[in-house]
Amino acid sequence: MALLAPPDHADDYFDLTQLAAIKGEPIHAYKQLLQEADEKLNQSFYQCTTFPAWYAPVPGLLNN
Amino acid sequence: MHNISRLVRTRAWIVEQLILELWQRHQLPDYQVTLVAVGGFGRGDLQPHSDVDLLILYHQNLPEAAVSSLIQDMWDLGLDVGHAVRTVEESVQLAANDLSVATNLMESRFMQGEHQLYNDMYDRTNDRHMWSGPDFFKAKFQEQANRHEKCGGTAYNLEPNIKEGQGGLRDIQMITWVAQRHYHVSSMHGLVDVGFLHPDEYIHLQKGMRKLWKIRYALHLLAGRKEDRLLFEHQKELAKIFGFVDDEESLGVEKFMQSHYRNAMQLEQLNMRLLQLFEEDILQSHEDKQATELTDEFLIINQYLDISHPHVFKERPAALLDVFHHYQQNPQIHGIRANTLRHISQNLYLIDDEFRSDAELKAKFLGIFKHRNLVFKQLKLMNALGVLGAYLPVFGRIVGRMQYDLFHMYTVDQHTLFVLRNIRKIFLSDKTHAHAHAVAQGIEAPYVLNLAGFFHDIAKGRGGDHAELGAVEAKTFAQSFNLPTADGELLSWLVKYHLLMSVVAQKQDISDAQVIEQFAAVVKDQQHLDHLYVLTIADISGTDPKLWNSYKDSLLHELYHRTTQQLAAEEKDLVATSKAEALGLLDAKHHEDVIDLWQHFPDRFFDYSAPEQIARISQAIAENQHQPTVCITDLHEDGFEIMLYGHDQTGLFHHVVGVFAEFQIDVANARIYSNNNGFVLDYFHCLGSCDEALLKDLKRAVEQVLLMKEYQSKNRELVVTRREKLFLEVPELSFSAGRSAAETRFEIKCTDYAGMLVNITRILLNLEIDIHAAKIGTFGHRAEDVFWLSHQNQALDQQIQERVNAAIMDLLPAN
Repeated sequence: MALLAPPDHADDYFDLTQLAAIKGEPIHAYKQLLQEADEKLNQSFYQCTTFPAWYAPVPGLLNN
Repeated sequence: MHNISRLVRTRAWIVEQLILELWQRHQLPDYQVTLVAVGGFGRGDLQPHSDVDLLILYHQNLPEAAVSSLIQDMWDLGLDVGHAVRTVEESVQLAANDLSVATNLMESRFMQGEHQLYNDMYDRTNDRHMWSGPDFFKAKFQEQANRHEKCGGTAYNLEPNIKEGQGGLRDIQMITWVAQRHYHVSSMHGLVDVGFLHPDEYIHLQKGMRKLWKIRYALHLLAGRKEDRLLFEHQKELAKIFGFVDDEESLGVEKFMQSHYRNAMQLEQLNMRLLQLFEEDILQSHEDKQATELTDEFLIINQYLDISHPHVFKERPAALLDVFHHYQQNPQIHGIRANTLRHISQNLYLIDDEFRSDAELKAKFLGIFKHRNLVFKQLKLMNALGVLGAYLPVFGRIVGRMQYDLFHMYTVDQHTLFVLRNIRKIFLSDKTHAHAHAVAQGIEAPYVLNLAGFFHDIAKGRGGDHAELGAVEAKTFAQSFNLPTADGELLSWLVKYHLLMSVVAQKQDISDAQVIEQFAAVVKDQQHLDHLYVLTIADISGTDPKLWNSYKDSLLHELYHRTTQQLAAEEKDLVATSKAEALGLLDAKHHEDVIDLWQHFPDRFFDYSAPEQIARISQAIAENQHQPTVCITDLHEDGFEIMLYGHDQTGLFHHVVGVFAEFQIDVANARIYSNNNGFVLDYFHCLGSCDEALLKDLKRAVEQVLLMKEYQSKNRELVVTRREKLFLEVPELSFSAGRSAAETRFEIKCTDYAGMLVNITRILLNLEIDIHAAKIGTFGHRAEDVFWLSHQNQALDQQIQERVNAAIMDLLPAN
């Protein structure tokens, strides 16, 4: 196994050019980048939490 | 576009980019040192606040300063880094001795540095060098069992662990690990390619995993840290996040948790089925297969039941019930083979209305409850496989159903199964419930009791009175399954009144003849009483293992005994009988003395107490020449009984309760008998440590109180725990008629707090109220205490009731 490939739409959350742009800056700049990415990820998470089919049927009745 | 898999993978990718950047920044050489991702980060999924697990491999010379600085930067970045720094040799040694290290390395991923170092480590820790497929499987299987045990042994407890518990994320990973180690497939989908996993199963595993990922993601966000337990304080908020709302029948949080439990149940079942498949393939592949034909449709292979061909269920759906019938009937069968379990799962759709109305199958289903053995085991398996819910949809409704409180420890279906197991235990052994065991031997048709256990909570979660609604369901079942009329009526009656005996025993004064008369009038006859008694004990013990104690045992036993006498219409003089029996137990030298003593005791004492107890108490007082006496009269596994005899003095009860609180002893029951010679006898059933030294100190402290050396009771602050805070309830206080015109019955229902009893008794003392008896009940987070009181030898008037009410409401935090 090797380095991770960027998942689809990964650049919506994290911009590699921004990472290149802060090269050499204090660690706080990297932390801010991670926090911003986390905020975007969390917003997306809250958008994908509800869907009606989530209420699982009785196990085994799935095929009914 | 947003889905949970992509989110956790994106987060792992982002963290990886940052770590690689830091690696470059610290100018770590690309030779001699290697950065490896392990654990979840190695798999490429990372939840918020999850550990970022890293391994730094090195040859000989570790650039220590640069590595320390790198790790420090990662912490400063806000990552929860878990790291190890090792040589290849150290990694190999550790992996050989520690299964979790070996597993971690299986999921490792090269990130940066010298690739050869990583390759060496990876190759030398594979199954050719250590933890061969069979060894790995055996060890992992044991590890899983230990892990489940640590998480409470069931996925259906109130605060399940979604990572480590049954049906949790680890169970899914376990399948992948075994697949990787033994079958050398790199992902779970690889198991589909090699034919071990059915495509449907793969989809269910993936769906289940994504549900768990979602909950875990939200849980970590809510907790602001890594937290894998679905703690009470987060459950309501999680339900809201996932769109579950309250309605008339149930709370949003209950629906959310039901959804989770059902998912966990399905994953647990899949995990068990696949592990069994692995076991048959990995461990039993070299054994000689001994197959015996049981019927045209079923074989027994190495003591496990299997279908003879893949179309058995499609050709004859009734075989879906026959599986359990054969398993129960043939003691040589130890289990069901994975192949059959899978086919059962895949063919559940065959259980349709026609299947459900088949008279022959109904008789077979009933047969499961009538069989002497394995009732619990069969029903548990049928529930896990979904057969039970499919065959009886009314049961399907309570699968994974939880109640948002601290009283019911398990989901309704699991509790129901535990009750059936307890009934069986009571029939088989006298170890835990000796008296109930003796009673059970006289029950002619235990299957009605099994059915009552099965139906008693069937209507939970529908709103309304679940006992009444359940009785209707039981009646419908009895008619549909053609039970004899008397059995059907008994079943329905038991479901309707399954809480009655517990309520009467724990909340009413069972020394009151009227209480017994009323209870006996409902029970009607000995047969009903015997059934209800066994069911009640099985039910209480199956709600929460900690709920059963020696006090409840003695209460129910006493109620059973008194009701039996009432039903037999034995018009004995109970007082005279008790006295005679107690006298028979005493040494003749005490007789005269004791008879003299008894003249001062109220009849209530003899009416309520067992002869053995009367004898022990009387002897202790007689031996102490009628002086103030404190005596431990009985020891139980979970507590003891203590009596004190001394001058009746104001506040005695309160001061003694204060001593118990100091010693962290819970009072379950208290009785107070004021004698006509200015003395009082207080008797307590206590729960807590029976340590000899502690009891000695306790006895001495109570003696001090008795000798008028007033115990300086402290103002005790009510202690509210994390869980209790979530379940604060508005206290309910009620006053009703007591056992006589001069008494008032006072009941208080509220959240239970440590130190509550001593505070309540102080209030009563300050209001110059006498306590004649007390029952202290704890039901999960709820306290339900009953006191029998008087004020200036009269029942409490309106004014004094209001003062009690105000003072107690003022005391309780929920107010």
